[in-house]
Amino acid sequence: MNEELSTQAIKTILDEGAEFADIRIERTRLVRLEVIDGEVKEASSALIRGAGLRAFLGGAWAFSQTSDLTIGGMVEAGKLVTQVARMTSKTVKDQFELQGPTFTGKASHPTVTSLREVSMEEKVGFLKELNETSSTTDESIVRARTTYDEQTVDVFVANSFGTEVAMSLSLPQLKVFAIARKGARSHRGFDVLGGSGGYEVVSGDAAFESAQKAPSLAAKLLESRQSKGGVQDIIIDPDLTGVLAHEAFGHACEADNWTSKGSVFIDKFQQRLGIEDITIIDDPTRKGLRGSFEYDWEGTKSKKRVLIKKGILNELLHTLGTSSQLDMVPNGAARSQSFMYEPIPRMGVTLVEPGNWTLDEMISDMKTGLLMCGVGGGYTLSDKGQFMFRSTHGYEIENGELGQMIHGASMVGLHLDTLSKIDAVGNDVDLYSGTCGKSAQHVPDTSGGPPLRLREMNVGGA
Amino acid sequence: MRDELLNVGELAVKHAEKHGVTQAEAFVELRKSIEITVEDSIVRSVSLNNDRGCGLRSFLDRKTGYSYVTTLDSKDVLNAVESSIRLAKVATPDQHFLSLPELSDHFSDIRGLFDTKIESTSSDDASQLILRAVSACQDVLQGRNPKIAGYLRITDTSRAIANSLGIACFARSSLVSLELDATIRSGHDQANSFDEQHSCSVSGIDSEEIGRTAGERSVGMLGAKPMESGTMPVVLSPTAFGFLLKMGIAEALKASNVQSEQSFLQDHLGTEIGSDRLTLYDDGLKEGGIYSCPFDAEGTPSSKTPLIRKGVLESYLHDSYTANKGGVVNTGNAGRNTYRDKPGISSTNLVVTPGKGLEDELISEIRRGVLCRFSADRPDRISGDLSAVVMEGHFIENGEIAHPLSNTIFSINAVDLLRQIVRIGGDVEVTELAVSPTILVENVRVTSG
Repeated sequence: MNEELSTQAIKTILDEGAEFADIRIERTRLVRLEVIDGEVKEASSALIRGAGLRAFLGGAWAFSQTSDLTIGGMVEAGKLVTQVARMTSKTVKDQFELQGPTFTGKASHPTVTSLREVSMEEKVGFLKELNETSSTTDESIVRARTTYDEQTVDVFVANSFGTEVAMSLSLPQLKVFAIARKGARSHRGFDVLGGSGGYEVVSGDAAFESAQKAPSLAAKLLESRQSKGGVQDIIIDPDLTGVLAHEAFGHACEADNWTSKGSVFIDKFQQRLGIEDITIIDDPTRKGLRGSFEYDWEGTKSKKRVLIKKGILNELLHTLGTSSQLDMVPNGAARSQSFMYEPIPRMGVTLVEPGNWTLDEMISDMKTGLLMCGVGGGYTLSDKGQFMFRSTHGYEIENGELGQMIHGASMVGLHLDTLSKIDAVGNDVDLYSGTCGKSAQHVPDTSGGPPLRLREMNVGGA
Repeated sequence: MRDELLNVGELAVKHAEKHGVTQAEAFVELRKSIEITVEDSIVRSVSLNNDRGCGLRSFLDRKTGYSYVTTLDSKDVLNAVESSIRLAKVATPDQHFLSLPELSDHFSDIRGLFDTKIESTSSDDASQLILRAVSACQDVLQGRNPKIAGYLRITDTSRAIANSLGIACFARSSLVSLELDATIRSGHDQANSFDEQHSCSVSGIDSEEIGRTAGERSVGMLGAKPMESGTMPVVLSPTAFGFLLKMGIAEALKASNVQSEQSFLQDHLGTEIGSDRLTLYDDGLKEGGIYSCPFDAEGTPSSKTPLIRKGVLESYLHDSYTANKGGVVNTGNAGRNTYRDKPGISSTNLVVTPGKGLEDELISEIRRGVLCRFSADRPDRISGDLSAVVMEGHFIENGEIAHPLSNTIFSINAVDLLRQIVRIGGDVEVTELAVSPTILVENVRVTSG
């Protein structure tokens, strides 16, 4: 059925005069369960069904989406999208030819226990058990929230180069939030567990560890003090390393920021940005992670991308459009949130590769500063080359030793400066599951790395 | 369109009733849009969207299940209804859930929410609208080799709400959003700025002004550098203050956050949370307001609610659930961006009552301070602590703008910020997030380096 619809859509678009056509036909099911203080507060589901079509003509793209999955629906959407591409191509000054490899294949996330095999009642029962664990971890806990999300995606991608790829993704995720209170003070703790695979990803011992980690952190923060702002030396934990790799460098390596000439890295290709010990990769071919995928949303086989190689800006993240326009090699980084969105360059599994330092060595080699841990939010602006990330907690460092626990510290920096401020790279990598938002599209991802030490960073606080 | 959407909604509600639900609600939407992306001064992509779907809520006694589907095919919709009922069965009964809203006999007629010109706007017309902004920006930045990016979205939204208590309402609205971003370089220095406008009508968008402003402001950001840290006055532009109001203050005013003790404004009703100069309304009935609608996302009539009057907190934002739970009047603030979003509480048009003076006059009173034109940080939901990066801003010295800023943060608790407002300007701007003038806050901690 998918083959028949995609063949019709592609034929219509080419017959109407486009140089290239592609289509994503999707059927996704979402389930979300939320337990707060023992009560099921949310039980919801969704069916996302439809097709996204693109036509490329004379350097211009047009996109259209439809939930009319019939031959007639494909013809109508195909004609419309090509008309718009033709109109748009008249305004394009720099025409380029779209080129790309052809792939055919099937890929799916391997599962032990498929998510749909487990009944809603069993999932709810387990979630309540985890929630109870969080509530009773510490007597200061006044609120515990546990959520379960599952996403099962079947997407079929075909294009006029002859690519036909069918992908099945299975993405369960567990999140734990807890609030601890003592007198007028309250603090939050958060933990997340996820990956690609079946129910086994979120139902083992690791789930109970997450259920305890979030409330333990919230309880410990009751004794912390507000961090002082100012310019300081800092060590960041693997969570923040992941955010730095993803937000500050990964996004600036997404090639749509280059075709739009909006990346601060634009004239730095193959130039040194940091010390030799820094290598940042994006590798969705790593198995079992939330950001793992074998083919991207244009049907290109994904591969390991070495974005920053030993301190030098080495590779970008491409869709077929950006690789063609910049005359580079496609590397399977096109992703879209659903059929309703166009594929754009995105990361999958982003990390800093390990170096030689142990965390203890980094701390003992530091006179004063901060150890910052956990991701409490933040953002990056690729065009301004600026970022801000909040930590969830941290510790003061005095004379090479960890001291008082702190909260409220954020790091602010410029992309171009920051890599050169890293002077020590840890040897112990940790990865965590997340969701990345860009251009109103949210996609599952993974990021992480070892602890890093940065000199003279601007730290926000009280 | 009206009948088509209402029929889907009523069919869904009847199907749920047949399966024994206590109450049911269907939120049916058809959203047609043209989206245009400009990269490096040219139209790079055009997207035509025909997003239609339905969100269902089923109640079994006091248990709720929710489901949505991205089609309006009756088979899919009925399956989604059954799915929402299955989910309701595993939910915990909520003793605070009393009822969905009942049909009201009065809905206001609000003018200026739908521009009929939208129907005949082609993707070609839309391209011209954004390209005029690009061209105005290029004129300002002649000789500077600017990189101009932009985004235009024209949306025609029809929504229908039906529930088992007889609500069957329909509204259609339009929205045009145009934003332009300009980046220029001078040696190693890269500067960037943007401007945007949002209106229910095509004629409400001034492409040339957007282009000129983005261009002029990007030039103003050349040579950005840090300043000396300290405690000083900060001027917040309508955009910067609007962001704080929508994403910080209005979040804290959502009764759902207050009732679950997730708000730094809980227990503050009737108390002074701001300077006596500050009055803030949530106005869901505002003529031509981009968040206006005769009814909210549950079919309750919208209203104009005073939130803060002369500094005193007068009301939280309610939907039917929180109003019933708190035994207070429903302010008609149930919100949903699309049928895909879970029903929740939303502010509508946040309107600050203006004072006097323009941005220049507020700046002229400051010996050393900061003008923040844009920041996108929100206060901590529970503590209200705010650490905000000045994404676009200037150092003020001796009553004048001295230089643009880089790497600068200001830190203050959100309630202190409201209390320490010493001036409210008269230069009201309609931004995406609020209708507000420029404001001046004293004694703010600024870190730069």
